[in-house]
Amino acid sequence: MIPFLPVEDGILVTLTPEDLDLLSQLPEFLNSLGDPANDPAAARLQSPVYREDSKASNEWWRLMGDEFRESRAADRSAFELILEAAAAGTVASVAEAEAFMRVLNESRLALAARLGVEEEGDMERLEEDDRGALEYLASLQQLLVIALMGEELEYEIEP
Amino acid sequence: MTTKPLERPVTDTVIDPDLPWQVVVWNDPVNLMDYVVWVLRRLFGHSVEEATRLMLAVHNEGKATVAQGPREQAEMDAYRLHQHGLWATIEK
Repeated sequence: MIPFLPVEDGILVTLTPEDLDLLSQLPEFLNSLGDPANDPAAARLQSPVYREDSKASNEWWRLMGDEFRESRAADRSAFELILEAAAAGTVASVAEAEAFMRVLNESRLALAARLGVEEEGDMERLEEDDRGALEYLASLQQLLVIALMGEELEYEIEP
Repeated sequence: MTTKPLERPVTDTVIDPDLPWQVVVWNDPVNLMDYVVWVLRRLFGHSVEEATRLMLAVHNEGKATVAQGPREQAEMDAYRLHQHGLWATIEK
């Protein structure tokens, strides 16, 4: 089954019970994040905007906080609506599919931070289950990127 | 309430208000390379080639400047990048 298929008016989303089982836990996980001061997962979603000026960064996040909360809440609602209908297959508009993508990505960032992934190579050191969940989400996200972009990218990566 | 006339703060640095601010995206171990290309195309309207070039610069050099302009615009760009989970900073 192809989870994300470009169609005329958006993306046809069809998810397996296994997909749904994992994905349905994500909004609650994201809503449960604590204070960035002592939760690395929350901190990852509020990384500094002014690299050498924590005061300016904190001020920026304070000023933008409401907009972030609103936009992330809207993304999570769109995500949940798609999940509700995705077992039988549902067409998400491009905007809804983009919201779905942001929730998937946010979840991976937060989960990886919670598991202590900070640098290249950290992923390889994770417990098999944790790593498996992250890779599963990454593969779904990759398929959604291809569906939205309409093509697979080709480039060479330096070793 | 003070009745003294307001004095201009004295500083020894002259900041040119027109000097562009740079929006820098940093490498991180979690964001997918294709996703970064997709975000750069979506937010800045880049071609696949240009977005791919920037993504590879982030990956290989550790960071890349993806936009520049007045502070307000740089802050808005940073907002949109953070909304998509990219690690973006602003600098002069």
